[in-house]
Amino acid sequence: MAVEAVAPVIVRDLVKRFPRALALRGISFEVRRGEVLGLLGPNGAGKTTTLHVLLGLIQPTAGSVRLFGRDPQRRGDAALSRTAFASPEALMDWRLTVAENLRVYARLHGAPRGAVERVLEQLEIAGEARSKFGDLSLGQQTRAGLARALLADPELLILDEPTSSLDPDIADKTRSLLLEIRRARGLSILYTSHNMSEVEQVCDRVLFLRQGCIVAEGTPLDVSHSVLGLDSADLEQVFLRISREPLR
Amino acid sequence: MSRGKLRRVGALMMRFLMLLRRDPSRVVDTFYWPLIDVVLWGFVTWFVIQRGIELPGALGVFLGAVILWNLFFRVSQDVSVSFLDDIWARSTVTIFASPLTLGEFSAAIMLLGVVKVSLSLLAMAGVAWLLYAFDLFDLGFALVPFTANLILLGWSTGLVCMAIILRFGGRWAIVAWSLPVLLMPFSSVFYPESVLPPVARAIARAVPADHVFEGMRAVLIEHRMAWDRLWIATAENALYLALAAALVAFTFRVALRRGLLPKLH
Repeated sequence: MAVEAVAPVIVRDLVKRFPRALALRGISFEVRRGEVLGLLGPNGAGKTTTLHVLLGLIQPTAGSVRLFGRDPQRRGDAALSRTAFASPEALMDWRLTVAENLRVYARLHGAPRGAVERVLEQLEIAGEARSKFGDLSLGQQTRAGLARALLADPELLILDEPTSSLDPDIADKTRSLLLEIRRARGLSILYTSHNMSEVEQVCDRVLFLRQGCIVAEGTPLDVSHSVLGLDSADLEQVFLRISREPLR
Repeated sequence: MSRGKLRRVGALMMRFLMLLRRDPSRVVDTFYWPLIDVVLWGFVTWFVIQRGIELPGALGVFLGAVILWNLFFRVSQDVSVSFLDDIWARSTVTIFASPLTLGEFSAAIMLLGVVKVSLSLLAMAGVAWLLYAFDLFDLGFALVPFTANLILLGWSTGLVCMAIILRFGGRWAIVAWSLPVLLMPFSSVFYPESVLPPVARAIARAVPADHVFEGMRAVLIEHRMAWDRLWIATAENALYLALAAALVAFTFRVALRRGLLPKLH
């Protein structure tokens, strides 16, 4: 099969055992081209560990992970050059200005000329371009992080709680921007969030994790139907049911 | 090295050079401490000369030594502190989730050390010449292999510090300053190796800096090039750099396995 035809993300039987915890217990899933997949679950479910394995920051104990058909652990630069990551936890240098940081990452990712100015406009942070990253509010830092992620026109965006520190207006604009880029360029997005109404709005499919296992998977409507027997999507209730249900 | 690799190494170097402009502590590291050392040891040398204490080539022995020691210390510190910079900025995940590889990251911080230490070296040599009429470049051609060997040793020490911090976390940042200093008593910086007790002398023989400083004194006092010392230092450095690089690569694999990278802050 040609590399271009494969799904951007393919995870098979992924297990991650840390010295004191079993974080992932053999999960399998795919992110298809142009799809927004929500990775949901309570704290400690294994969402961030999954993202870090995809990014080559953590080595899996067993199973396989492929980004665009490549192993991010072995051929990291080839796989990761088409991928971008943003999280309120993934910061930039606090001593440099936003524009300086973005220039560094533009070069690191091989972004086209003019990319810095473009993303500053897209994320509406052109006014903060000369501010030091460390002087920004948490929300502004998050937007600068998203700007960094969009610099090199990635084909896959991995977002960990991308709107958690944004006010409702900016969060809405950010969601709209991501969906617009998805429509225009067929961008695939893997998305974690605790904001269930946002997930319903943004995600084509969702995948619920609990204690390292996938416990529900499908469209928001399918999951709401299979878990709660509902005829409309209500991921908030699904989340509560899954989080509170005793483990078998 | 491919264009992509060069571009990524260049990106990190660009960031570190931007920091020189934005972060006063980087300027202090590059110029302030080295120049203070030169001024202090210049006065010590004057004192020795004025008292008529018999010490051949005192000016060169002290000022040359302090300049070359700073060169080693700053290169080592630049490697480890550049890595710590990302930990303190909580940007380790951002950096390593990019296409950048560990080799490219290491190459960038090692090259950066050379750039910064070149600036320090020029400033120290300039001040030593202006204040004390000591010309470091009197060492002539010998300065090139001496400098190269101290840079190699600085890289090795810096990489070992980086491996320790990678494995045990930012709370071990102190090794960036303490580990290179640990080598000082065995490096014969300000005194000949012969004054060391036998055990310390045996340890000193395994420290490339000991051969460099003995070689420097041979040039300044006896006006001869100690080629034997130079070859031993070069061979030891080649071995230590290979071991340090292997240690960083091994520790990075351990960090990936144990999920340490995202927790580095």
